[in-house]
Amino acid sequence: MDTRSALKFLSINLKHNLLPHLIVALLIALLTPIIFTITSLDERLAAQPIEMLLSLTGTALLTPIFLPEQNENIRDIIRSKRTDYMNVCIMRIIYSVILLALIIGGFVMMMSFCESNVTFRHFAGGFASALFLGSMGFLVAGISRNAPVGYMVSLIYYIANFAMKDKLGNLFLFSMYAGSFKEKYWLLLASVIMLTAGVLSCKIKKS
Amino acid sequence: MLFFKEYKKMLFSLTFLIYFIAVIAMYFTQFHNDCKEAIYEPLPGQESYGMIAKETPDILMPAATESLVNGYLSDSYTAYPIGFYKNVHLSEKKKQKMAEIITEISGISKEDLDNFTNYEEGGFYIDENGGMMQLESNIPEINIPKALTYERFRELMRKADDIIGGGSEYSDENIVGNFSLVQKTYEDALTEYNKFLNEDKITGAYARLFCDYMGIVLAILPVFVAVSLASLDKKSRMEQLAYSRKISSVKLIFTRYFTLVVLLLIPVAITALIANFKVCGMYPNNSADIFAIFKYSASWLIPNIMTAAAVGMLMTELTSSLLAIFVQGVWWFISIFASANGLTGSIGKFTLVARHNSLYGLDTFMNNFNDFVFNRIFYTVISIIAIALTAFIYEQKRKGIFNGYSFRFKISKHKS
Repeated sequence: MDTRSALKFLSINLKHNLLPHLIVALLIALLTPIIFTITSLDERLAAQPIEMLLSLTGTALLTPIFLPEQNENIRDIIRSKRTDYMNVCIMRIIYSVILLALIIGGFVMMMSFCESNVTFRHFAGGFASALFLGSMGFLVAGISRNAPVGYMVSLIYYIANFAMKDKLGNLFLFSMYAGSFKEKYWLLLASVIMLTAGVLSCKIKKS
Repeated sequence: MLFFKEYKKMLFSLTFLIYFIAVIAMYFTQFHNDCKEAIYEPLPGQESYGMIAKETPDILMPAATESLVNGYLSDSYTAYPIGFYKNVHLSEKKKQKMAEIITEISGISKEDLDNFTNYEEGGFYIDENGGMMQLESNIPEINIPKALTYERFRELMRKADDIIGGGSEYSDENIVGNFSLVQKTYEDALTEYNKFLNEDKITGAYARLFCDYMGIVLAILPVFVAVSLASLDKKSRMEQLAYSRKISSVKLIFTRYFTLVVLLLIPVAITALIANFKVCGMYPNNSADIFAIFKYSASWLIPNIMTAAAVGMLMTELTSSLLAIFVQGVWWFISIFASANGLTGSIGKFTLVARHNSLYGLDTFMNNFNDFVFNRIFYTVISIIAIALTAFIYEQKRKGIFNGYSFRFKISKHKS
């Protein structure tokens, strides 16, 4: 894919596919300071809004990556195109992950302006939790070819974090709020594995 | 028969399988896990029977006043306006109003408050030897005027709560539980136990806890099953075929809805049965009401399932499945977090997820019983109206009059 095609691809995807999901992600980010306070929080309390609500932006942005092709008619067209579908998915993942980082980064900066004790760890930890939820939704939606199933599994895992708390071990999403950061490395690793598996699943399906 | 055709289609769908596993998992990780030990009759002379919130003005007034003075001096008030922690700082105008309240209840003037420089926040600290130490807060001396009645005090507390923004420790819902906790007496504990045994007939108390846990997932997960079934039709290109069938839209949509609700009830019925055996097994020598868990489940949980499934069907027919998930998700989220600070008896007229996370508190539940009945009937009726609307929209689509609202964004100059 040359630069011109890539730019055209980005422009079409942004307008056709990404925008509604980006709006949902931004609405979640806007809802967060309404539900939680983000002013004058200490290091531990500052993790609460980031982990417990903002992390759902990952589900909103990454789960629907396969969504356009879940329409059989569009899938038939995709099969007839020269561009490798796997490259399309990878590009969608890249821009979704960048947007996710921007939303979480912007939110953490806003918390910093509101005199909360936030550091780079809050950004990295929040990003890891959001990426994990999103990757899970992406993988399940891809394998099942059904985006609602992806959202469902991602949300069930999110609820499980309230119900089972640290019983989830290294994959506990709200670990910073519980005072630990080491889980975030595992979440990042698991996210990379799930994203890779999701991309590979679309390659397998095409062949 | 249409019911069985739809039933078979839904039963073997992936979404239903995930729903089934999630509901069973919720039961075993939460309710079943809480049922490890039976509740025994309290014995006289026990060291402690636990704490109980009792409205005792002599305890409540000084404790709430001290807390409010602390809040003013540190300019930090704790509140849970929609369930989650908020640390509230007041504007100068609101500080002035708060100072007026403090002056009336403590005799400390605004000048004394603002000029008090030796303020120290109380709390627990770790000393040099690693031991836990409690430090009393250092605040101006409080003298509650004798002329101040308890009624006036509570009125001022309501005002303070308004100034903070609601959901604070001084609100009507929270003030007794926060500032008037006393040790339970043997008589208190025995009364509570007798209510559990005779009025709740054991299983009634467990039924509320069961519904509390299961209601959390049943207010959201059915929406996924509902939208997924609609997308199954689209995916297998069955929509147009279904439009051409002779069956009326009302019959088709209501049968689908009924089938969906019956199917979604399967794991609930299974877990209710297991819960019944589990609880009755914990109290082999007592006569428990063996139908209580089923009665509570029917009245408490079916409206949850009906509502989430109806939102899924209506929004999918009207717009898109993703919007259905988003709408139900936001509604569920707000409802869950709105009750996060009061898990016992958190049942309002329009609360989507009714909460009662305790084996006790029958009185609290009964105080809200009328609201509970109204609430569950309201959601049942709303669900049926939503499905009637779904049938109407479906009929319009069949006739080709309406094709659903789309939220896709068009590109003006797009060459394929």
